[in-house]
Amino acid sequence: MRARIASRTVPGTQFLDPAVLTRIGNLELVARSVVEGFIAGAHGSPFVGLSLDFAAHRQYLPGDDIRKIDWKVYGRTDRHYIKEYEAETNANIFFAVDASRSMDYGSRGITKLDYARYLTACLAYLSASQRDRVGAAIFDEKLLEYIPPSVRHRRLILAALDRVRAETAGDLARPLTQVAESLTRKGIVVLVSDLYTEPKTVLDSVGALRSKGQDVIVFHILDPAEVDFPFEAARSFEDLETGERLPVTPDVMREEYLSLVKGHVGEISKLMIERAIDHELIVTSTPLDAVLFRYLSHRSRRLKGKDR
Amino acid sequence: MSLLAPWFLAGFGLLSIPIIIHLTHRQRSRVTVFPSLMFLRKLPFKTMNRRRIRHPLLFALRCIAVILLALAFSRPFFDSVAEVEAGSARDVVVLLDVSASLGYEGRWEAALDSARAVIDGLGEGDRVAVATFDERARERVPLTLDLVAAREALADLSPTDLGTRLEAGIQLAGRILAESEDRTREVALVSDFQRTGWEDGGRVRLPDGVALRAASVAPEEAANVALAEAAVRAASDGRVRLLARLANMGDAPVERLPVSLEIAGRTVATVSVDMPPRGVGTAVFDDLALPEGRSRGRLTVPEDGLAIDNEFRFMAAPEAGLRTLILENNRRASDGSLFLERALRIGDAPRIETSRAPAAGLDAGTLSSADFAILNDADLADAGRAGRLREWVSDGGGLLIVLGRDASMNRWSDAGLELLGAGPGSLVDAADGRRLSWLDYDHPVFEVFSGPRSGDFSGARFDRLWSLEPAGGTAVVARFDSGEPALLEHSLGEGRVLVWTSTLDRYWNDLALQPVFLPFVHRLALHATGYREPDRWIEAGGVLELTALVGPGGPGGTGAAGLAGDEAEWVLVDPDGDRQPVEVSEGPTWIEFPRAGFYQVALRDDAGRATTVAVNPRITESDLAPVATERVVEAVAGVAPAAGEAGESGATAGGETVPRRAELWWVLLLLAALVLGVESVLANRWTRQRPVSGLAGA
Repeated sequence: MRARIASRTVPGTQFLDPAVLTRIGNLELVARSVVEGFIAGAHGSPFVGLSLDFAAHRQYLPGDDIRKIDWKVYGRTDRHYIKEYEAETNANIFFAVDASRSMDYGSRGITKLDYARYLTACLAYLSASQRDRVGAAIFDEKLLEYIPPSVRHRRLILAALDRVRAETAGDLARPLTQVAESLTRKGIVVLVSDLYTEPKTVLDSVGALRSKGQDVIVFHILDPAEVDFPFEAARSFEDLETGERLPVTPDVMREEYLSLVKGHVGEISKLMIERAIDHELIVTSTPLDAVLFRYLSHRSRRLKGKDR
Repeated sequence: MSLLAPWFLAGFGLLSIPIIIHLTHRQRSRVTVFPSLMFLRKLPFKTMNRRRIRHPLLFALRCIAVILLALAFSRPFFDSVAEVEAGSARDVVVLLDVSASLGYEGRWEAALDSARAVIDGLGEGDRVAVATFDERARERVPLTLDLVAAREALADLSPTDLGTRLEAGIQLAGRILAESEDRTREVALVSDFQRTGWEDGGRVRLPDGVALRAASVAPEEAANVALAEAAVRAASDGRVRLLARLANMGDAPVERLPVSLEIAGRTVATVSVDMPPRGVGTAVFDDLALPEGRSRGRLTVPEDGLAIDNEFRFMAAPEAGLRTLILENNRRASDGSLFLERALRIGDAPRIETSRAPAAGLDAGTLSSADFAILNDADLADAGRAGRLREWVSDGGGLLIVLGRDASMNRWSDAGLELLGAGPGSLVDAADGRRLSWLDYDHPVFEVFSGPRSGDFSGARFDRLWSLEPAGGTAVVARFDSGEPALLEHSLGEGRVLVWTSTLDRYWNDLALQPVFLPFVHRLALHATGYREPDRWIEAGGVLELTALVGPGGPGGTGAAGLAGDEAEWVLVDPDGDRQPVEVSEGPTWIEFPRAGFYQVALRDDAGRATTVAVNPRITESDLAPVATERVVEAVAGVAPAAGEAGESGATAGGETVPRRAELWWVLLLLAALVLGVESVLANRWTRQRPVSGLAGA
């Protein structure tokens, strides 16, 4: 029996500013701080017991959570027994992280790639702490790092994330196809990217994973400047990946730009939903623990669906 | 409406700058790195929006501000008189500087061009007068409608050799315009505005309502070397030393400037002179033997921008020196004339030659060869000796009587006392010492000591002296602190007698040890003999009295005969050789020498009886440093001048044009500020950052 996952929001959580996390530097420390802080903040939350299977009963001792008392046993024996669970170890969590040049952009002290690093590290830490097998692929136009899923690969993932640099233009189709072919066991694939490609191409790339039976969660990372376009004076914009420059009058074309971005995101989201893929737009100003919450919500929803 | 600085209208061109920047520079100057141009690339036409004006009102306000600023800086003004008296004609006085400095290369042509431009700028009904000034102002053309005549009058003008007095010209122009009624009055002053011509500036004002426009023709930098003075000093053996003083008026040093000396038409020597910037130098010509009589001398340096001061004329004559005879008491063993003789022999202006003779053996022959006699501590008991001296003095001789212990005044004859100009004195033995307490500093002997630190007589201590009671006609020139006369003077015939009541050695006082001793005895000698250094030259514009020129004491030495009332007729021959009769009047007859060169004053029928006068231009004209034109205009018009064309300034005395001009500029500036203020407010409001509909969470 799987644990029930509640989808309520985290009340009064003091989220960690991603820009602050950049000062920590050590990815594991960041991940542990975020995840443990997140779990502590979610004390008594329905996530406790997630992914655990029933193992045995033991007698109630003072200090045990009374919610864990098996009342049916009490009814039969008139004694208090606690239900004990055994960790589930068969979930495959694979992270596909986009490290293309466009990810190396940040207008508020943290780049999208840094944010992807922290997010992936936190998720890996969280998953590993729940005894999931974790693996990762880091790519731009090709695979830069590939770490197959394993319960012991958390540190390898963190090290790979730490090493990676955004240097060339990106491509989704080829690396994700390689990832899809490499994963022999069904699981959850978490894609972290800014998805600067046409929605159809995104769908085709992610569809390769989906067609292999993987559950896919897409974290669409964008910088606040990309979604707000706060520029005023006329200037030239230079493409991070190609170096191309374009003269632009931002205050004149802001509305049109925002409309295009909104349409792009909406189109991707729509296509993803149609293919039963979770799509989450994350702005890098969003605190990481909030994203963790969303992730776990999606994951529990997905698992619940499976249970049904 | 006119513009004082129309070139500022070029500021309208600034209107194009914002547009050019907007179209070209603005977008290139700022580059923003962005993750991807994927979406921006889909809006290619929108980037062209910057090529159209988004806020026409803002753009219009900015253009208006630029236009207003350009207009303000171009200083527009309305001619106040034209406004007040619309349609009235003008009376303009063209006041042209014709002083010698206008002869500097290019100045005269520039001055004429400026004057012609003023006349050419006049319209129908306008009247013009032409006046010139150097040291004096002259009305050349009275106010006339005939502009052609005024223009032609300019052609007849040329720079003179005279100095500059701006005030004279201003006064004349004011007088000319004072007669003008119901017309716009204006003075167009064209000058090089020499500072030396404005030394006493600020004392003259134009009448109220008369505008002054000043055009300066002074170059920014003018180098000039001037020959300033020539001095002849007697040397030994009848030879002389000639000193030529030069002035470098430029800012660059002058090295090895050749200075040539010409005597009687023959070049005698050439020496080189170095001078620092704005400094002076002296060319020394030694050991010169001058011809008998007076000779024409010329000093020349190579020509520079101002030619008139490159030649200096003077009259040279051998220096005879002042012959002094010291009459001593031959009974005396000590040398009581040592200090006196040594002091007199020092100096060369003039050179004083001394000789000694016993007072007892004085005769007319001995005296006849002397210009100055000193009866040094000797008595005049002998009436014959006193009579000979008296006669010699009456004929123009100068006598100094020095009273000492051998004067023996109780034995003096009446003739001697008459020569003394006082009664027999008594010997005063001042154990506590006497000091000179009162000196007549207006007297020629002491006037050179009148200035501060010019000689201290109070340091001398007198232990003995003769107390004299001056006779009628005898003046006391100096007194001791006890009241006794120290120096007396009286005239006798054409001569002069000075009496010193103590000794001029170390026996009765220590005056001989004082620094003032030497100049004092020199002054006694010069005053007693009435010595006057001969006029070797005068400055242009100077005057000389005919008697002084041709009389016995004059440089010509032709005698007093032939003046007023005589049959003789005198003529003045100018440097060009033109002869003009000299009108001899009953009183003093003054002759003016207005030009540089050699003049001759001669008898019409006897060219041999001629006196030559060397005339040089005013040395002040050689200093070309100008005074600020604005200063002159402000002083004359009484208001701050308005800037005009290059080198021009203008203002109106007591008029209203200046305030009106100022108002117009300020109005424009205030309007510009107001427009810019409105523009700022609107720009801030319209370009304030708009709220952005974010997509987070979309």
